[in-house]
Amino acid sequence: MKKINLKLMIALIGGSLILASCGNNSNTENGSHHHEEGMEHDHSNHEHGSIDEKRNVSTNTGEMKGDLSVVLRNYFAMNENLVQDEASGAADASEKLMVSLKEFKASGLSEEEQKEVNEILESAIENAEHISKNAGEISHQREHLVSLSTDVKDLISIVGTSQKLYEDFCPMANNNEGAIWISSKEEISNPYMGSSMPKCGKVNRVIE
Amino acid sequence: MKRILKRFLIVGLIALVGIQFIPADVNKHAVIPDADFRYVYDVPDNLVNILKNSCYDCHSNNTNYPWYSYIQPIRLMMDHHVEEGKEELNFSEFGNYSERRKRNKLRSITEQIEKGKMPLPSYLWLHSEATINQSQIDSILSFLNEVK
Repeated sequence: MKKINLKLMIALIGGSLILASCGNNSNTENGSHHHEEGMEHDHSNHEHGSIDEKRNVSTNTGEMKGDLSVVLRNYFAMNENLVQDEASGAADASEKLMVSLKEFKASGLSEEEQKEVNEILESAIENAEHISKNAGEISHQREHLVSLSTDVKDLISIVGTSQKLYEDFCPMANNNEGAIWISSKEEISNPYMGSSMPKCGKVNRVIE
Repeated sequence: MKRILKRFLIVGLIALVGIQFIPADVNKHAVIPDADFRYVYDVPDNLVNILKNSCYDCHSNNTNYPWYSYIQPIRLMMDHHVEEGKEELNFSEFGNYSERRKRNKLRSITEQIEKGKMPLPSYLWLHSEATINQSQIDSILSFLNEVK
């Protein structure tokens, strides 16, 4: 009785494996035809003006098109944690930042502005998510702070702000490529270098 | 006691057989879309091969499935992994990203490769052929730097 059972089991397992693998095999073979390498693909992406050019002209229009105060409060809290090398505190603040970005609504935007705000928010949420999920790796959090700060800056330039803000720049951040961040205080406290160099950087621009 | 153990074993085996019938995701597409990374940036063939060999299994709409991927629950884990990888970065849909997101992704790809975080060590453990050597790394990085 025992022997028969064992044999039956082995047969069953073996059979099912073969069945399962055959079924899936035919599926993949169907899909694996090679693409004829098309030549007529669209190059339009090359023609767009560089976004770097746009970056330097982000000035405040003065007219408020949304309330960024909650977003900014969470962004500043995250940065304060990064200044103190507090990765888990930064992760918590970033989680809140993510929520406030998802809840943020702008009004009175042109179609083009709305499109850009949507793209900024999509990018900012993704960056904030990475920061919130990488409490164990502060260098990775700071990598995402580079793009996130650009997102925040661009968002301010479209939406406007009621607070006086500072755009700071550190030439050593981002592997010596330099990076900006937004601050509510005039004095420098650098979220990229942390306690090793908290005062590294300068005010690039005052946003009023 | 022996009886219980035997029953337990049988139930376990039946379950193992049963889960083989869970339908698997098949991440395969016959046509490579215009939005594919290789067309967006006119990537040279040798780099396309490196990307296909080392990145596209998890970061594109075409996964190359090894034999053990047809066994459950391995496939379920793999499907989840591919889904996560594509959400983070999908080379097949790169052209559909906004300019901002493209820029972010180019930066992140550079960082990940530079720091040796990608391809994932756990992936390389099973796919040693996907390892990128230093000269390949250099050529990818200089290309990314050019298009950034």
